[in-house]
Amino acid sequence: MLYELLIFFATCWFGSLVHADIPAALATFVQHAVPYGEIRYWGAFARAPSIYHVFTLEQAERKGVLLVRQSDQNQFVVVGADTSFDSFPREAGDSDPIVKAAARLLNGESDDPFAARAIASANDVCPLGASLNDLLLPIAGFALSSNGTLGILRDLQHANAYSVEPEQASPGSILVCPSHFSVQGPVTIGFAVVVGPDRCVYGPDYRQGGAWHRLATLREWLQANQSVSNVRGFLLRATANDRDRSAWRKPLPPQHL
Amino acid sequence: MRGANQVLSASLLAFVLSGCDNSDTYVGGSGNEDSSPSANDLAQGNQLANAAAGGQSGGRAGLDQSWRGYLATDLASFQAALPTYMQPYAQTYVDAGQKYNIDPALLAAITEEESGTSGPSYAFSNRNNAMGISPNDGGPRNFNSIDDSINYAARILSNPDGAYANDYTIGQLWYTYSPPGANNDPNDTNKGWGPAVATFYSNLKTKAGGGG
Repeated sequence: MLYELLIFFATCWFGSLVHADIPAALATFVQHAVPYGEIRYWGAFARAPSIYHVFTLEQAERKGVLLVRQSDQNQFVVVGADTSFDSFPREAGDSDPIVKAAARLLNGESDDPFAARAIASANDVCPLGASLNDLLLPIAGFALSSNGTLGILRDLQHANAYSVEPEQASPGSILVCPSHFSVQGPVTIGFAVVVGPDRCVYGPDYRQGGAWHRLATLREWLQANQSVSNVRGFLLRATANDRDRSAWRKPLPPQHL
Repeated sequence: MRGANQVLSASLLAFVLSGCDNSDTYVGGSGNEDSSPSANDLAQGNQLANAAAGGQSGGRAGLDQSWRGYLATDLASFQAALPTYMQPYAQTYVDAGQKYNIDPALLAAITEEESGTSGPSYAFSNRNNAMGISPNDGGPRNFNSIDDSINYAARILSNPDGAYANDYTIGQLWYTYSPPGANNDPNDTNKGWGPAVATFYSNLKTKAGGGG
């Protein structure tokens, strides 16, 4: 088993020894690769001929995971980074043992990021898809299967949805800023938000347990994110959309007394 | 999650990075782009937008329960499950549900939310309004009888060309029947409508043996 080959463990097990165990070169690499936010180191495991290091990142309202491969003493590359392991690139088919080992190191023995899921798991480092599903499922009857921005993007591209220009996104559009990384960095954790009725974007804030908040105006958010990633916009089709009711007007809703 | 190993102090560079190559992160693609959004698509978008702006989260609160379709209801157990002041109208809920193909428990759950569980509201007692129906610019509407108000609500809920034609779950119904942030809700009470109705609905079905 991969985790039997763990070479580092969590602080709560070994306390101050951890500081000495983290290679200085790794710290330097990660600090250079992740230019923004807080980085937490969770440990490493070996899989010949490499060693893999697992980190979590917190960047403003976002959280994410980062996997770094150490090929020899001072050669590091970013293997993947996103809001969840469940959308990591799969190097060995449908069930990459390296990503599974990384996810299990972080989340425990039972975690399988590639388990077939109809709905994104609420138990994740950053349950972004599950947070969005709280809105999408009751209103649109549609559920995301992934918590990773790349998985969310895939789900929406395959969904019954319109592509929309982010700058012109109508209320209720979902904007996805996919996580971005290069092998030597930089690493930027992506996110997904919903455009509100006031042309502001709303999303879960994982500094506050995933509570939904207004994050920025649409314009501000796009300015901050379009320069680091390719923001995509989607508007889900209505669930029962067999007729165009463009001439139809919804009556005033009854008042709640 | 296991305990963290170490917090590394990341250098605080500007969030906006320059010169990033984003070609290696995902394979681009596009959604279905064959037409423009219809009025229904935009209406659903507005529901999502209001839900996001209102900080609502519903899936875990039973908001995905479907309310369409009449469910055969044992009148005695249904009546016993209702608050005392609603019990004389049990037959009306069942009949309206059957006539308009709606679960009677949903109609009763709306009354419980609109009029209360411990006693009737002013509108219920003085305007025969059991369902919280009111125009945007006025108080609760007058009905000739409680039966009339229940049937009126059931009729508009079931109208295939009406406002609720695309609402199948309580969560969807919430954002049409009692939308958070509505102009006629100055005290923001609509914010709790969906979860409350979902809870009343679940409780009624449990108490009445699942049939409503």
